[in-house]
Amino acid sequence: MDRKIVISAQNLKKHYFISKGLFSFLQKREKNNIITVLNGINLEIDKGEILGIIGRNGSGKSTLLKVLSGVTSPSGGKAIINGKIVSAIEVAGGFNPDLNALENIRLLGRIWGVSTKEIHKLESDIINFSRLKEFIYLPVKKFSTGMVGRLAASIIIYIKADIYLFDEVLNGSDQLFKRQLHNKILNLQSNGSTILFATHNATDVLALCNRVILIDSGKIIFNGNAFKGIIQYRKLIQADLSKLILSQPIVNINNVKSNNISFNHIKMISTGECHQLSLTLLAAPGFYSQGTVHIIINNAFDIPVGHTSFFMEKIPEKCNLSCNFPLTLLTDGIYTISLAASLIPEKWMFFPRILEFEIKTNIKQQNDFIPGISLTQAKWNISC
Amino acid sequence: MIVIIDSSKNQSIAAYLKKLWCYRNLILIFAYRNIQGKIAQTRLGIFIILLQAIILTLVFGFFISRFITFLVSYPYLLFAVTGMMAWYIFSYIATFSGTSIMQNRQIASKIYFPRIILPFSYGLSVLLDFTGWLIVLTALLIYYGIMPSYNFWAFFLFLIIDVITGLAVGLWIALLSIKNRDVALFAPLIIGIGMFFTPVFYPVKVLPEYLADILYFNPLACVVEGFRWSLFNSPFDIRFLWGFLIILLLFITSVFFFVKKDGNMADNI
Repeated sequence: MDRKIVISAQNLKKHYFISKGLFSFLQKREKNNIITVLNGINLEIDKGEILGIIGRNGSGKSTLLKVLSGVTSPSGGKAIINGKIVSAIEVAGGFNPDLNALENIRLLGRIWGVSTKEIHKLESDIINFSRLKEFIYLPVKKFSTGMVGRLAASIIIYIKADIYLFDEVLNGSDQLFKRQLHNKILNLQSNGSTILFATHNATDVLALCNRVILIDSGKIIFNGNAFKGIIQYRKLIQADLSKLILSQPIVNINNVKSNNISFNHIKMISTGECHQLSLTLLAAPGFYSQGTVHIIINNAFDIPVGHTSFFMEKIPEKCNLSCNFPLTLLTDGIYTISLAASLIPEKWMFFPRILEFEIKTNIKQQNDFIPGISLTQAKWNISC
Repeated sequence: MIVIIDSSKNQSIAAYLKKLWCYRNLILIFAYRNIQGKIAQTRLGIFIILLQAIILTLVFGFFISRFITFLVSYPYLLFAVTGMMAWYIFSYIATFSGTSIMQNRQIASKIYFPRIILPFSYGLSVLLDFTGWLIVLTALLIYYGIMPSYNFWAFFLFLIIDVITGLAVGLWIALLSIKNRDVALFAPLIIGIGMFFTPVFYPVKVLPEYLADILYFNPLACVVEGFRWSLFNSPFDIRFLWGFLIILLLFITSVFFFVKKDGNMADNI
């Protein structure tokens, strides 16, 4: 099968000039009043790909999509686009807040070059897909953020095109719509459309994309498999993230009386295959009769992947707890630990992300960096 | 369909105009949207636009013309209404197209289309307001029992000049206010003052010679006098066409610079 490239970008650049003051036009375009947003992007996208674009806020994701969709011209470089492009950039773009949803569907459809006849056919589909049937005669300005996003994404997805650009369309949408849109995007892909999906939500990338590019300060620093890309992204922000771990001082609340219970001296020791977590529990006397202490292990995307609980029939004023747990099931990566306690009389206490640790194994098969639990006990069969 | 995205320096005017032709339907759509947006949340709907012309005429006819009148060869109210009509069309287009990029930045910074369509669309949506004035004018003509002169065909020619004048001024306002809003804020004031330098309410002949000479360079004076000439066969000085030449120059330069600026417009609005 021959390869068909739908988007090819060569050395795309984009600068912004900042001007200040009354006589700004006299300013020279020097280095200190130039912001480089895209700094030489080279990219080739095949037909039928779902490409995820990840990166931090302000790294140039949206600008890249804006340049590719033609909204703004690049300052340098060139891009060749083979096919009709539609884009949902910064979600609510293009809606007239005074018009109602139905009028906006018609208007946006026309702007994207859909004929009136076709729009009439698509209207009911779009309304059903966005689940906004009760609200179609309401001005869009009265919509919530999630509803606006839903409407925008639904319109774009029903317009026939070769290339779809989505920029943070799922911000503020609920789980149900997320799933709906994911399915629809996969559907479009199987019909031969190409999808570019910019987001900083790891779950969207992992649920959809077969390739990911990671952009940082205007450059592509990773291009490849989505799982690896996510890990790279995580590594990029790791240094800053580690600083934000809620370390002991926050848990170590001296005033036990008002808080009734607290965890102190939390420590983690790794000994080969086993990890030991130890902590001191302080409780106000006579408050709680019994309770359970939970240790929750979250993966790099703050999703719980494992937990262990310990039931205590009587809660003493002060005690030392320690827990040994094997972590052979987890794959390489960075994990965080949260502590929780459910107490009687009824009270739920939760201390999120108090510790961070990294697992490094030497198992060979794991060079694809697929996150989650590795099922070492699974048995494979091959028959030809 | 293959699109090549290139830096804005390398874009030619011809290619832009070609694209504009591909997107020509959009002018109609935006014009429709302008009207829709204007009448949104009104009870009277489309009639509110027609009412504007009627109310303005009634107020002028019953109150103002009792205190200020000039002697012309046909009823003074007709004289004033043709003037107001030309002025209204011009100021509507100039004001709205001047701020159109700013008003529609939501759409202009997110979807690609030749952005000159936005100001142009007001040149089309003004036709509804024009209809309102036309109704008033027809009613007055019937009331006074006056038949329009044989030059009637030229009326629409001057209407086109009126629209082009509005667009040229509007495009320049839009161009100058992409980055800095100063011009956009002063524009309504300056347009308002401009009315006194246009023979809307007074005939040219009441002015001293040297002032009348300046008026020849006012494109709006050309339109106003043109309207009156085509309807009532009042004298039309050919020197008024100087104004038309000036506005043609302004219009062409504004389109030229607008095309040049379009590529990076989304960054600044």
